[in-house]
Amino acid sequence: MTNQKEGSADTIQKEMESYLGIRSIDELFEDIPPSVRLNRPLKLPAAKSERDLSLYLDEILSQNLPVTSFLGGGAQFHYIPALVKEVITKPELLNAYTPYQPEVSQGMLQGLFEYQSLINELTGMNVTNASMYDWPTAIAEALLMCRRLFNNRTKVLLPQSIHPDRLSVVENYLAGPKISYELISFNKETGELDLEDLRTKMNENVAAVYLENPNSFGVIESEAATVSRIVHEKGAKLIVGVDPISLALLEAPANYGADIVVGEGQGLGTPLSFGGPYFGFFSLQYDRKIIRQMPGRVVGLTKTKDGTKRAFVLTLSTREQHIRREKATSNICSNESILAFGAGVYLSLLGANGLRKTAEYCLKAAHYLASEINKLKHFEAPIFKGQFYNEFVVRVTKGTMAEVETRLVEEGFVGGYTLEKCHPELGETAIFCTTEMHTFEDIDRFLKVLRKIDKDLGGGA
Amino acid sequence: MNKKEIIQAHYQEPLVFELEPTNYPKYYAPEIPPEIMKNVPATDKLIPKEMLRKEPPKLPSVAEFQLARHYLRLAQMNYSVDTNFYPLGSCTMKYNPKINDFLSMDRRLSDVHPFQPARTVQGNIRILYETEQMLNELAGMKRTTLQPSAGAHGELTGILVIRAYHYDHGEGEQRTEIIIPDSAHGTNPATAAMAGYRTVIIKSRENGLVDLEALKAVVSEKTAALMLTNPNTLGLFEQEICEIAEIVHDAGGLLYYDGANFNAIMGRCRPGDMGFDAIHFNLHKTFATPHGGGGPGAGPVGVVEKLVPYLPKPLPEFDKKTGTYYLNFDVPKSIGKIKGFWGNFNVIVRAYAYMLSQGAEGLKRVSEQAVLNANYLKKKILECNAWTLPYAPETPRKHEFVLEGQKLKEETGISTLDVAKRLLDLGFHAPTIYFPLIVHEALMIEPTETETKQTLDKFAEAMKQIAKECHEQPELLVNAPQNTAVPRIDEVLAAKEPILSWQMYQERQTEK
Amino acid sequence: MDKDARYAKTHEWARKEGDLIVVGVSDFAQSLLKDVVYVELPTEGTVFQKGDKAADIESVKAVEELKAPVSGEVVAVNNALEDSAEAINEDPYGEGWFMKIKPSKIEEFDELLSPEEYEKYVATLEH
Repeated sequence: MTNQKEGSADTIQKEMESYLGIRSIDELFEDIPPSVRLNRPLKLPAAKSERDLSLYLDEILSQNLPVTSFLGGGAQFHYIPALVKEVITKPELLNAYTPYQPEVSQGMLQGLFEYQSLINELTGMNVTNASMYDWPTAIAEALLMCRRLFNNRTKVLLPQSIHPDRLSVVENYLAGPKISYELISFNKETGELDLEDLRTKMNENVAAVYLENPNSFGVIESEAATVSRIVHEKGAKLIVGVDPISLALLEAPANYGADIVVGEGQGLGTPLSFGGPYFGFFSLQYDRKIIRQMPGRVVGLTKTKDGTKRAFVLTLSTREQHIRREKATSNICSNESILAFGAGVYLSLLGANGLRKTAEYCLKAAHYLASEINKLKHFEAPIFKGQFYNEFVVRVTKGTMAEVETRLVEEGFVGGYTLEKCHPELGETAIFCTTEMHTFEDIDRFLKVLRKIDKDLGGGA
Repeated sequence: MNKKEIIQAHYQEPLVFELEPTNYPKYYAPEIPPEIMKNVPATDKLIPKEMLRKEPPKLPSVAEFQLARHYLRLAQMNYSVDTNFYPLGSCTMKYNPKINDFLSMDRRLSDVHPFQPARTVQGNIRILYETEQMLNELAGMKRTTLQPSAGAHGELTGILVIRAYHYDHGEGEQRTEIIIPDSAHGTNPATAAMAGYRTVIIKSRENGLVDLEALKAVVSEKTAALMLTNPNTLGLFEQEICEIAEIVHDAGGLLYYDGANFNAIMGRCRPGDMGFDAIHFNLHKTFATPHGGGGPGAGPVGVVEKLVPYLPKPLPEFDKKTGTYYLNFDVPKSIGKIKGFWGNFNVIVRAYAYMLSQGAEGLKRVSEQAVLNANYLKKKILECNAWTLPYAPETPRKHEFVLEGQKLKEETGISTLDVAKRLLDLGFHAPTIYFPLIVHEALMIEPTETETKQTLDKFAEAMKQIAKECHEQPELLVNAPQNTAVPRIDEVLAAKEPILSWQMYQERQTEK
Repeated sequence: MDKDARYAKTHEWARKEGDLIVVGVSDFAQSLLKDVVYVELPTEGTVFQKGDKAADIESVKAVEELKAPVSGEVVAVNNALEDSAEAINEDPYGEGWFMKIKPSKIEEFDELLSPEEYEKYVATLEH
């Protein structure tokens, strides 16, 4: 049976070719020099039907082992309300390009404007850009921005506790503009930033100091306001990295002197997805001069030209690569808009109460888990005295953390992110994390396995 | 056709902060288990006093049903490629097949933490591994990192890899320049500057291609790399690419391929065979992953053998002995990490599904149809006799073409911006405008392969109508758009008195 | 066109005011830029060489540099432009002035184009 539609599709193609005066599509590629033409078929699989593709992917995914994990370290497992998923998969939003034509893109623009404003409520600032790639790149861009605010300050300071992956990203961004950095050590007892070390390293050559709160050990920096004072006394800028959900309970960084607030937005409605895409947020206080150094897109509220309606538009674009080219504040073009949009949905739906409850769940589950682990003979948790939010460092005093992890996986669990490579001085440690996704049963079963492992480690330490 | 034809909803939708507060029905966050409540001190005992939040964030207090309406209305005021034709040059707004979205939402993908041990994520690493293999073959490269988040991020990664290579060969301090044609995307010079390089701009020849003599005049022992897209932003294939490569390589520089225009050449030729040393792909363009109103994208970077040691880590590997996949962190000369974790996995999965569903022949067919559509539409619009085709008008374009609106502007005073806004009225998204910079009043049109002849004809008809209106009813253009969610927006006001948030809006209201 | 001023090919005007030189951008330059939304002015006391970037001028979709037409020290800047950048479009030779420079090489002023020369130069650009 001849498929009539396909038959006519061929006719249409012929029509187009004859309109162009060509006998075959090959003629449109004749300007490609023969020496670089690919004269063989691509060595790729043959096309799969939608059914076969689904079956194939299903088979691949069955190779993943289902586990309950207590991993954090820059990505956390949080519940995503159905509304968030529904909104960010609406084709009108998901399948739009960057809103370069604002008159037909009001939905995306208004949603991003709301996102910007909602993040401001958490950080205490009044400007948030329309998103960066993720937390690490947001830190890096914030450091570059601070460097640009000074003529001749060429150095930045970061905490030694920072996650090594984030530091590696920062190193790559600092390389080009030749900005040097130094690490500020942490107080071995509390896990908080070592203020004496900060004082020693602060001088007039420092453009910015990056502080994480809670830091990469999960510890809350109780003396953040003092850090801010030390930094500002030398005229430098303070960048603070935060967990946005924790800000339901923790002070807004603007209130203790942050100049720029950055963080990982993933927890606000973006799935873990094995590491991405996530989004970084980037907040600061409006200043007509400083804003000119901000990276990334930003949505503004304006009016229609006839003055009749409120409307939204990408603005202050002269900072960006498509206009200022080599003098742009950043090369960023694509960002993580739909995820930022989703975070706006998330925050609007949860409201202050829902967010606070979620944060308290994270906080309290972590304290429960830590105190139970600490009862074990060969485990210490948390190893730092500083108060923590929902991540904490666990040490095993006999055997290795790697061995513990192997045992856990056999039982369907993944414990924490091991710190042996980046902080061998802390011994056999890992950083554990709890969220509202951990039911009491999850935690209880996990503790049972840990108790068994602890017992198997035997008597003496 | 002057009658008002509504093409979008026109809601006066309040901001989410302006919705009426309600407590019913409220959103229930999970309850903290009683066993935990019992054993853990109160919240204010767990947080240092000085860090306790004094005032809760002022988030909206609204119910799900209010929000469902709010976002539905916002969506109805947004144009997408699922709405209609999206001929945005350089952006490759093709249709994004639904199956890719569905597959990417599988919980076995979405609920997996990036730090899980390899043995628990064999399927995921396999997807990374196989995606890389396919991209290597498509571009003719040795290895590809999937880490970068977007095209510009890929550029930065590629240039940092090239930088590491030069440093490793003792020429890092000496090679301080990156050469870029004047027709390049803005990200190219911005990337070069971010990576610490001085950009050297070379002018295009009258045929729109790289001027070999100009290139020879600027390459030197200072050249780190040439950044090029091929076909270039005019949609023209750089026919002397082999000579270009030779000139740059002879001077010890490397060739970087901006993959924004890769949709033009799949299965026809490969950057690796043209002499390029590094390339980024835009998965959100060529490989049909949704662009999400600005992102996420993904910008994998492929390189030739000599650059492999410097790629970001980890790289996905397959151990034939054990039959297992793993992430290899043991890459001693690697530049390290360019973003957190391993890449925009959820985007990569969609691109992977796309490549598998197209297959070898399908991907070649994609480029053929994209090029056929572009040339067809180009000829159709040129028949309006309103716009001209600068640079080598007789040479076929590849996936896109750039029209010049200078003549029309001189004759009627109507600018390309007005034309773009009028297109919105007629139910189409506008092309990319005022780019590339080497064309006056530029309209850059990329139809992609996923459009019918009928759509292309309708678009050409709309252009013809606009050309006529420019002479007969210019007010229609100057006042356009009228049929969209809002009429033309005051961008001057937006930039002059920026209101970048609800907070600034409120401050502004109280000032007044 | 201000007949009392002299001009640079980069479209700045310079006018003598006592022993100072007042600097702004020409009417032609502002017409190309269209609506100016922001200027970034140098701080008083900054010393420029002729041709140095002395200010940034932003419209919605473009940014241009004002280059010092003569070498010298900036002794005054027009801070009013911060709130009323439209003066550059509306009154480029009056309210739209940028800065006053105390010239270190006064001969550079005489080397600038006369109004007639500049007019001719602009005419070549318009075609």
